[in-house]
Amino acid sequence: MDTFDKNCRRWARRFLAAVLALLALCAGIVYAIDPCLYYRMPENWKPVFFNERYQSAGMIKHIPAETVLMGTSMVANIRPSAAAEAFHSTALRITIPDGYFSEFDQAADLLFRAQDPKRLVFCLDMNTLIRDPSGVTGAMPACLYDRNPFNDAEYLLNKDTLYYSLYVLLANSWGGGQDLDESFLWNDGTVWERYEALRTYRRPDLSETVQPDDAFLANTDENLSVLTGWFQAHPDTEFIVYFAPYSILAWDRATRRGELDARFAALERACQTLTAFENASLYAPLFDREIVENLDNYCDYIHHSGEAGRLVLQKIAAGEHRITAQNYASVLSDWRQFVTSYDYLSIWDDDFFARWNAAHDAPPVWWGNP
Amino acid sequence: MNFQTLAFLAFLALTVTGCRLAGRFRRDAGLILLNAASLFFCVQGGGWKSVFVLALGAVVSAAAVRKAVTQAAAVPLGAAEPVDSVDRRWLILAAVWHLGVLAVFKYAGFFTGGAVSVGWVPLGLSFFTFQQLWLLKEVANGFSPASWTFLPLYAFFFPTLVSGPILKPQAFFPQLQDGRFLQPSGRDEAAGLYAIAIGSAKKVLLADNLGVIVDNGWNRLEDLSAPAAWLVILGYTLQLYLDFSGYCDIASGAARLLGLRLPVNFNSPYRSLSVGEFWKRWHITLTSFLRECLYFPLGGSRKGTARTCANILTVFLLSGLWHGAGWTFLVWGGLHGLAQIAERLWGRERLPAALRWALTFAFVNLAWVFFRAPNLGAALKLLNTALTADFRPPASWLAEGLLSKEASALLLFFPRLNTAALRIGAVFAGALTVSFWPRNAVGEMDSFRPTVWRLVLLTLAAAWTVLSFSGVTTFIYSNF
Repeated sequence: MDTFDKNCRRWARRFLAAVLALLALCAGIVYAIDPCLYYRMPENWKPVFFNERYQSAGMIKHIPAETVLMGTSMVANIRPSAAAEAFHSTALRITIPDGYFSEFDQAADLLFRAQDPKRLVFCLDMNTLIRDPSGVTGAMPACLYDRNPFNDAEYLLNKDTLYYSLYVLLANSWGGGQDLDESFLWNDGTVWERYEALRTYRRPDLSETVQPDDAFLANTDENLSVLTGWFQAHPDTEFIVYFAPYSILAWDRATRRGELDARFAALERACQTLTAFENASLYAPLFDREIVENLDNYCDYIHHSGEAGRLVLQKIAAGEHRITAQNYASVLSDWRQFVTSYDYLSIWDDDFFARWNAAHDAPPVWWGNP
Repeated sequence: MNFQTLAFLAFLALTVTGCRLAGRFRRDAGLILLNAASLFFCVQGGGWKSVFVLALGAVVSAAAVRKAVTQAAAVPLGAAEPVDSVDRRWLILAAVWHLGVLAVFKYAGFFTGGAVSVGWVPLGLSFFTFQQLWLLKEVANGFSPASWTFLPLYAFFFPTLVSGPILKPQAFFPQLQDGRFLQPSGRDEAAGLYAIAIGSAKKVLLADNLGVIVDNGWNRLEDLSAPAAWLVILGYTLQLYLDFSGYCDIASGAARLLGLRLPVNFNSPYRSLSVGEFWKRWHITLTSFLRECLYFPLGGSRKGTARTCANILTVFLLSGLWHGAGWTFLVWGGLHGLAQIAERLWGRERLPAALRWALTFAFVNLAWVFFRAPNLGAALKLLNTALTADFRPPASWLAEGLLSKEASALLLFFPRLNTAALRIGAVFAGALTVSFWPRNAVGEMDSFRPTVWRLVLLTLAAAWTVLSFSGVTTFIYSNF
């Protein structure tokens, strides 16, 4: 081996050592600051909440709670303290915006590995219940939820988490950082009122075709099997499932899209399935006129305010709108009667048009096809 | 298993270490381990069904070669003199098999209008097929692989399995008997690591980020102004080169760590002064394959001008089809064929060099639009937009998702910075510099100098690249 060859070999080893050292330094910073709360809850600074899917794994692992509230963006504005107040226990809220059931399954799997919750309250979002379960958002970091310790490297060797490490420190030095009760809330920056809900609602054209009753049943069955899998695997946990209270506009939308029969068929299937377990109870604030008809609770056709969410949990804790194997048929029938005879046009009242016309030159886009 | 993953780096480290240790003990053991690692790589990337299809193809080739070459054992490796008796029927049958498999998996849907489609394509099938065809053709011409035990590696060698370079048998098999196979020198180690670092940076830091701009543009064709359209067109031109040549650099580096040299596949193609020259610098191994296995057998340029032009067009139409089963690829191949016919008929030396370069680069850019477009209509729309008089500066949404965390970090300290322009400018500046750099990475490997500045720059680039393998995927909820 000549001198040049030796120099090359030495260079190669130094290069490898330098790269490994630099990467180890970056990984060390991420590990120490742990912006996703994956290894521990911070003691010397406040966490900064920036991404539900990335930070929920750590919250599940490190925040012990008797009651865990889990759901899509429909629970985003419900403070953990509201759940604690309703169920008189410690509480944790896990939000997976627009989450697929496969994603909730990952979160639940981690939850039951990490702790033994007394109660899991699951917000059953109708739109996610009936959709294709094979879809994925691509945003769920499997490395933070699975059992493989080696792929933690994807978290530690990651320029984005490195950035968030820096950001957490800077935010705290600027007096930022958040409490757990404020995690992932977007309630405060949002307008919750009738006009806003109507303004953002894009009323669909009246569909000429009607979806068959079984249009969503296959998807519904597969999605429900995730929940029933939890019920069976954890008989000592109390499961409370509730249909998220979409506003009355959601029923207008379903009617105009010709989906009403198919949605009711899916709801019926869900009621049949979820009321058959001793450790699970089902509630339907979706049919609570006090909440869904009051559009001041909403910012669009489905999302309700944190205050409305607090009311929902209190009603559930008080046993209101309980669905059982005995009453679901009549409850669904009553609600179908209500939404099919509802005068939806009356929602757009004079007050709405006065405000709309003051801000716009043209009527709402759907108005030509009422 | 993508090259741009931590898993691949771990796999590469284990494979190189294991094969070299085994090779030090006994070369056959190292070869067996390398075959096993390549098989593992194939399973990880394409599953067992890919392995089955490719292995079946490799067995068909091996059987045909064995049947065809009656005196294989007596012929020295790479012998100048052809094997005495080659029964070409077996080789032709094997070639028909390979083309049939390729047709079934890749083109059935295209030629039947979607009526018949397998629905999946084995990992690296296009490259595998051409490589096997090259082997059969060379055997027909008298070449004989030195040992049957080398054939699996030729078929499955993991650095080249997915996207080449397409290995010419004469350039690959002799290396397996060379003393450096599995016993690389210090030069090989340094050059290999250099190529892997450069290739990864080209792919991850430049090509992928250009891809963000390009995808943003293609997703909102209606909103593009003419300058933005040109940015998208140029962005894709650079992205494709940096992506593919970056991949080849990594493949060359990985092979060099095992003591093997891969052929140069890209030689600063965008510096070409003609389309003909472009194809001598772009995807060189494909061009060599098409020249030797298709153009020459068709008669090359020896049968008159008309026949030569027809041969060129045939080669490039088939090249287009090989790149993808779709009309856009056929148009792209046809354009390149026609451009070379025009050059041949009109002469290449009439214009000043600068003008020739500009015309060639512009042509290559415009042709790539068809390569990238989802359909001909979209390609024409982008080209039309590029030629309109809408001179609005590119909108900031073109940079959405581009180096977002780097930009956020900058904004923490410089809140008023226009990061969109800065990010687009930085990515294009880096991409143009690398693309027009006179020497390519594989060329640099042969004259590699182990300097301190190289150590520092490559360390920073490699660390940033590895950190960029993963990111926090921001979920943009559709309702908000």
